[in-house]
Amino acid sequence: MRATDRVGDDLYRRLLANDADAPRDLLYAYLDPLASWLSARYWNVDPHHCTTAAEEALLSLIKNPTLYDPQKLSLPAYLRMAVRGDLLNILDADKRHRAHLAPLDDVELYADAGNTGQDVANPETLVTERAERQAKLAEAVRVLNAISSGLTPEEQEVLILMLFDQERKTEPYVQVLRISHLPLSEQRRAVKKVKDKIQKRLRRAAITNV
Amino acid sequence: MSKRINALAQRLRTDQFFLASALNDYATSEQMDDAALAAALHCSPETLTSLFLCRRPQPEPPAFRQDVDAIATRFSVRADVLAEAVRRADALVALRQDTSAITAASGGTLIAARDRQDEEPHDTNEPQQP
Repeated sequence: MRATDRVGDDLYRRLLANDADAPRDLLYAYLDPLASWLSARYWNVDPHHCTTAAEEALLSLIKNPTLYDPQKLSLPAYLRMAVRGDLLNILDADKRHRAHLAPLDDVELYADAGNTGQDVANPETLVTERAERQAKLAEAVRVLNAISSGLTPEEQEVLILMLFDQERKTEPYVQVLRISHLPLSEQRRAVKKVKDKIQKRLRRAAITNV
Repeated sequence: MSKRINALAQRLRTDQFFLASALNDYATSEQMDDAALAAALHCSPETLTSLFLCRRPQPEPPAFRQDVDAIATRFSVRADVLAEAVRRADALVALRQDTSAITAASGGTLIAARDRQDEEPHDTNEPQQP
């Protein structure tokens, strides 16, 4: 069973119970933090796209609450996973739009956000890239569900950083673990400890490409 | 008040899932702006934004009354005005759906009539109209 997240659990319970004011409370609780987090994570992406992705992730949950399984993930971890998928969809749509308007050079603006920068104008390439990303996303969700049991919400965030973003820098981990007040050496030690714990679980689940 | 929350509340005016759409339809039918709508409900503009983000009350009793009362109590707004607003909006939605169906049916009939007219043979011996 996963670690407790009382605020998220309560909001989700009220959504399932069809409380009329639950959507409002969920949006107030998560829209700004989710959009800000995504914008900081993908600093080279238009912040408007990040806001729209956060809106879409929350509206999807509000209208289809059974998409989320509270037994597997905390609500914040689920939302951070879902919002990435929505951002990819928005970037795909934007790329297709720009392919009709702009020279290929503009593709470089999206390179760090995960696009290959190759042959943007070719619809078949876009479809293939999108299918590959969605397959990776689905696989990541499967792995996440398999190994996140018993992890704290912060550790689940570390797992997502390792799995989804292949993050090598220490700073993002320091942020999610909320240990920026510690001396640098202790930050590194704490991050390594959590990553080692997760690596062990990944090895047990026979995942080796992280 | 968060800019993102405000912007989303405005966006949801066209989303039938949310109370925003019902309040928007009601305000439009009464030629009210947001300030007038907030005054009618006895609430502040910030509270109006909160109302926009609530789920639209379910139309069937007793759920309708329960939803309206829950929202009105939570945000200290006038339950009678809120109920009236949602009922009016639901009626407007139903009217639009009926009108669309009638328009579609009429359009189908007119097209058929034109086709029959086009198919009638043209008599070249008939005197031409001036």
